[in-house]
Amino acid sequence: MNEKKPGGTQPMHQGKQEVSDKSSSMMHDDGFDQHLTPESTDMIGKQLRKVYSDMIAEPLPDRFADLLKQLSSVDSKNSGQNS
Amino acid sequence: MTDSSGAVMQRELIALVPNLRAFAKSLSGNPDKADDLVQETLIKAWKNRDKFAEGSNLKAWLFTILRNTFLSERRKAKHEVEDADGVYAGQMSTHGEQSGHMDMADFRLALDKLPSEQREALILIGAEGFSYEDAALMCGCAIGTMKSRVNRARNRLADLMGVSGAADFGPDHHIDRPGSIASARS
Repeated sequence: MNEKKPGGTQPMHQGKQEVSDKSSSMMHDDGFDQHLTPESTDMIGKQLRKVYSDMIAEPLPDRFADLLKQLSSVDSKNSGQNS
Repeated sequence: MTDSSGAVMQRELIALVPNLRAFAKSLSGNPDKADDLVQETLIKAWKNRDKFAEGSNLKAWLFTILRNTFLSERRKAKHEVEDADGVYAGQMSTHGEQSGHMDMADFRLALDKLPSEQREALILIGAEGFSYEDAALMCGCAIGTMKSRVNRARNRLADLMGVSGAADFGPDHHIDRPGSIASARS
């Protein structure tokens, strides 16, 4: 991998929201300022599960199955000879 | 002796790889890095499998390992992160933002904009279906903190998507799904 900068590692806060003014006025620190309707909460939940299940459904590269096979074979060589 | 239980463990691990990848991707934001994280998690889990209490929640255990691995790597790379994150955020905002309705690309984009603790909380609770208690244990925080993070994540997402709730529905042009609260407003 020749990526010097793994862009993904994100700091706790990303200061780039265009809506930061709006959202900070609408949210308090305790986060219990629930201004969403049940419909909005529901809609967000559905979108979230859709996005996440799409991620889960992505095809799996062989490297993980290969890795586990390798790990268990190393294992049985080390410990399993005289069972 | 451990062979058969090792084989079972192996099957269970591979079955959870898709979830681990999705979680890793949502933590790191980078698919290649996410797969490296999963690989490391599997290696650690395998080496420490005698420490896993059988009958307890394997997925929670694996997620905890993955999360800790991610955080310790992030601490190591901290000084490189600031700049890199700007580059990544820039890339992300070029796709999806233009589409004038609430679709998956918009949602992904909004999700990426959440503070990482909030995104993590929302995914653990809302997508993976962990209990608040388990999620709090995994993240080493209080249950109330976990609830608060999920709440803030939902509110922030709604703001980013222009779905503000009862008092303020936000801009209509963001939402044109029939049956959504925005269309009910007329």
